[in-house]
Amino acid sequence: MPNTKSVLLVDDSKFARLLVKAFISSNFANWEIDEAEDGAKALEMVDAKTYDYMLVDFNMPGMDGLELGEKLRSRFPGAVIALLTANIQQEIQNKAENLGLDFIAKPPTEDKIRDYIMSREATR
Amino acid sequence: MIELTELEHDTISELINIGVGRAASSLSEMVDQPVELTVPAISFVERFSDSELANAPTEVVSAVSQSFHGPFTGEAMLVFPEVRSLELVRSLLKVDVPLDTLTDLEQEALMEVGNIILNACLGSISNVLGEPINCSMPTFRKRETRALLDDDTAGGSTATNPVLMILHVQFMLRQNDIDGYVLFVMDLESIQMLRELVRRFLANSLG
Repeated sequence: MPNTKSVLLVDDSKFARLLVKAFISSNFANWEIDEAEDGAKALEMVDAKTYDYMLVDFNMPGMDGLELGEKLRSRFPGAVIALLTANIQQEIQNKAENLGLDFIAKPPTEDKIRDYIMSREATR
Repeated sequence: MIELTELEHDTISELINIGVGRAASSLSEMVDQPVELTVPAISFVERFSDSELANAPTEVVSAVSQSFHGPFTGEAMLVFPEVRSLELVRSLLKVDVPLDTLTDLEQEALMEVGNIILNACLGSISNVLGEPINCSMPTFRKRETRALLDDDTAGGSTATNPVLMILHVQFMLRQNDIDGYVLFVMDLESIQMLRELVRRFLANSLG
């Protein structure tokens, strides 16, 4: 990928962030990847920097991923925002869709993350 | 004690089967190898120590637990022997990390695995029954099997509950010689609500 893009990973699991970061870095060299462990931290970070991609977990302490996604979507209508979650309930998927969020079911795998980003890059 | 008809028993087993099947698929994706499952077993006991799972009461296990709330409430757990947990984490990590980092990450990794597995189970069950189920944040515990269900917050024990329904499925990762099990524990009121939902589901499904 020629262009450098910026990604914000929001997940309370350090392990989950480590894996997703590794998958993105190995396929999209030079992309900037920042991490936040909860919604409040994520909102602070987007005050200081604009992100092309935001991948947000659902089940987090404090604000959940849908609340955060809703705030992020209203502030960044053009950004790619995805709920990356183990919670596969149809209700959660429907709510994500209604908020204009993509839905990626955990577990994250290298193929899944790479294919998702490449498909979104192709449409940008 | 709760009586289930053969069809209700079979339906609850199948619900768990669907949930754990989805969970096994998730685990298989994570470790990149087949995951074998046993047929779900349902048992009713008054105390966890009465269940067959407590046959080795002093064995130390690692467990990730999430309580769930919806039309019925209870606790879902992913349990495996403590001695194999680091091996499991090693299988999960697709990136090389030094041993000390691996040890540091052990609990984080197991909690995330538990989160994925238990949500896959509960999410599938919720989707089949059409009833939303909320899950708490996962918690981690490492303790002897006999104390597995002791309640940390209340300081009490599930021994005070009148009936526990234990739904148990064993999973195996043969390449790493890792096995563990998924456990759902519900009390009498929740069992009755689950049975009612299963009856409605059967009535709708069978016309």
